[in-house]
Amino acid sequence: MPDVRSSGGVDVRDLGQLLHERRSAANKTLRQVMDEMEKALSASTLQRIEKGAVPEPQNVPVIAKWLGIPTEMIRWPGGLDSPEPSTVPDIVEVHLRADKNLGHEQAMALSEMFRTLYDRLASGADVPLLNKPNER
Amino acid sequence: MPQLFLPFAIRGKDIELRAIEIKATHDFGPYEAVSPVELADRMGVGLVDPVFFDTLDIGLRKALLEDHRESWSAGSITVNDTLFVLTNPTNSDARTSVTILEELAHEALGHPKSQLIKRDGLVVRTCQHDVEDEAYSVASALLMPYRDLFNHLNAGRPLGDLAVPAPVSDECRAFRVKRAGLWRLYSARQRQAS
Repeated sequence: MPDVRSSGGVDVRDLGQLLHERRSAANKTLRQVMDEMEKALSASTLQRIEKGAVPEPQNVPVIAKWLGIPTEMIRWPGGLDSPEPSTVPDIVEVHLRADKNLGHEQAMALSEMFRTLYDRLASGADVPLLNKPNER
Repeated sequence: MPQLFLPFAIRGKDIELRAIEIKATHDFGPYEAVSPVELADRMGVGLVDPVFFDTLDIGLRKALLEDHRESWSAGSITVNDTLFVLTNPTNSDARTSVTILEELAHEALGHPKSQLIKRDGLVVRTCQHDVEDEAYSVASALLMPYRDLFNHLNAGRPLGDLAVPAPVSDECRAFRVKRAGLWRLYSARQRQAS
C-alpha cells in the first residue's frame, strides 16, 4: 500500500490503488462511493482511476477528501514546490515537471535537452539546422 | 477573393480556411500542398538537425533516444525572437513531417502556450485538447489540401496514391479524409472501383 504520511505525501498516481484498497476494506461498491462523493465523480470514472488512470486535477481534491488525505499532501510527478522560474530553460523545466503525463526522469531529461539547446543558441554557438530560416 | 473550393462540413471548412490563411501569409497558393521544411523556411523557424543529439552527453542522449523515446515527439523554444523546433529523431519520417507542421501551426495560429495553474493547492500544467486537435487538423490540411484530395478520391483512386510533399502515415491520411468530411465519398468510390 502506498505510504501516505511517513514519506511526506502521496503520489497522485497512487490514488487509484488507495481508493481501491479503502473501498474494498469498507466493503463498498463504486456506486456507494460515488454517492458519498456527492456524485462529483461517476462510478465509471472511479473504476478507471482504480485501474490506474491518473485522476483529472479537478477530481483530485474530491478523492483526497474521501480518503481523508489533506490536498497539500498530494504530490504530482517531479514535485512542484519550486520558486517562480525566471529564465526560459527554467520555465520549460517547471512546465515539464508539471506535466502529469511525464515521469520525473523523463521530465528532467527533456528539460536538460532544452536547456542545452537554449544555452547554445543564446550564446551564438553553432547549432546544426535542417534549413536556413532567415535567408528569405 | 475568388470562390474557393472548400469542404461542405463546417468543421472541415473551418480547418481548410485556417490552412489557406497560413499559406496565403507565406506566399503559398490556396491549393498548394506544403512541405514542413519549406513552410519553416518561409516562417523563419529553425528546424534543429538530429545531429544535435550526437553532441549531447551520452547519458542524456540514451535517456532521450532510448529509455524515454516514446514519451516525446517534439518541442519548440524561442531564442532571440526566433522559434526553433526540435523533433524526436527516433520517430518515423511520416510522424516527423506532421509533427513539424503541428508546431508551425501552433505558431502561425497564435495558440497560447500551456500554462501552469494552481488548482486547490496543486500546480498542474494545462493541456488544451481543442488546440492540439486544431493544430493536427491544420497540419494534415497543409499536407493534403482539399481540392486535390477531393478530386483524387472522387476518381476512385486509392488514398495511399495521393501525392504529398513529405512522408505521411496511413493514419494521418485517413484522419484528413474524415476531418474533411470525405469519408463516405471515399468509401463509396472504393466500393464502385472494386
